[in-house]
Amino acid sequence: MDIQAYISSGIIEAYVMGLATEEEIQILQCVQKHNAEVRQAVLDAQLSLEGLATQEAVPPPVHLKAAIWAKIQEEEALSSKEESIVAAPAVPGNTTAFVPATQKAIANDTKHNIFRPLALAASLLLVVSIAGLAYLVREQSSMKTQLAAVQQKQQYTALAYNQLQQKWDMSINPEMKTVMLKGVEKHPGMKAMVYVDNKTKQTYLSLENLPQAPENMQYQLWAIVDGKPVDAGMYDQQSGNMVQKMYIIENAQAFAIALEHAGGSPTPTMENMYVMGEI
Amino acid sequence: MAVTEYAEEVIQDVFLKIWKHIDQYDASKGRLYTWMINIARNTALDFLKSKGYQNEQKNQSLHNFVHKDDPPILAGQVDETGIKRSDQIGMKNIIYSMKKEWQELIELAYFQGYTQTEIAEKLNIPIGTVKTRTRNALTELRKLLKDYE
Repeated sequence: MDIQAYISSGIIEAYVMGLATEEEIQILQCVQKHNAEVRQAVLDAQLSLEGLATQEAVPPPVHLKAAIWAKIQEEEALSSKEESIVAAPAVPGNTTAFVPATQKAIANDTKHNIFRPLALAASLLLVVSIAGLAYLVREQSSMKTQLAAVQQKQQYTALAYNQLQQKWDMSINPEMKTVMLKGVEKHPGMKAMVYVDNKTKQTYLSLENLPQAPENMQYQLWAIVDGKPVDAGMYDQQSGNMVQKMYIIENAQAFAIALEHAGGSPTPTMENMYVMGEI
Repeated sequence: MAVTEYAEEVIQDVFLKIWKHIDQYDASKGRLYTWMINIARNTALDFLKSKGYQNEQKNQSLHNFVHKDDPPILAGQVDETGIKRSDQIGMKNIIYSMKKEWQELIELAYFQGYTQTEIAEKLNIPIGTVKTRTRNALTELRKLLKDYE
């Protein structure tokens, strides 16, 4: 048999990962008995697997360790009960004596006399088996992702609904005056709405269909007071709020929106006016 | 039932199995740790194939994702299982860096416990090809792991 070919055939990797067939297992166990190189290769493969398992490990929940020992004690109690019926005198009747007796029995029985190293290895494996079960968790988190996507979509819808609700409330509120700003000659079809609170003179703006302002530019609301333009506030197109609070303007006769530099301008750039409307 | 609860139940079963069958462990056949890893894998697979779990899956209204499309995890990021990856490359990234065919074989054989016969049927390729390809995939996987050690 060509040992090198055998070692590089992948059968050893398959064997340590539990993927070899019965026949292949028999062959390998026979070969490794008689060949040190193969024995070493099998050992190396196991160490690789074990290293990977430890690396991928996820700390398990703390309560599991106690739960596991409890199960083991239960198991031992069942099997030692069976044994004692056949063999020795009866176990003491009261329950408080029972538990320590079982633990002692576990510690002393010959089948489990690798108790200490097993305990160590057991804690390691606890960590390892979670890696193997990451498959299960992965499935669930895929579902979680889908669920999150659906929820997010719902949130967007809810947000859009709120925006519309806001506008509607403004429009039908008798305390609010609605001023429609229509597109100028250069920008036909453009529209915006200004809402003015009759009592407080607080103004609100909603850009209906004005395009996204280019970089470093921003829409500014101007109010015409006593024939002169007055800064009424900047609209933030990034905010996601459709209806935005502007300034308080007394005695406004008309409103207009012009595209200015980001942050606004002290005087309106007339050529950049988009819409205007009179009260 | 939450998946983490399933996982915890399976882990407990794994340890119980190890405890019960410890006298069957034969040191001449391999290391203890590897023996335990394989018990863990087999127990997990039994669980996934169990009637109880299969029925629960059928009752889910959201269908399973094909996780092949998950993006790779970068070091330091939190992956979708909520675990922060401090190691440089996770096993998942390594598997994703392999040929699609090989990824698929490792997924089916190792993570889903299909036999070579079942895989051959499922993918409609001869058993011999499944065997050779799986072997190659495993050797490659091992090589990639060594590179990142």
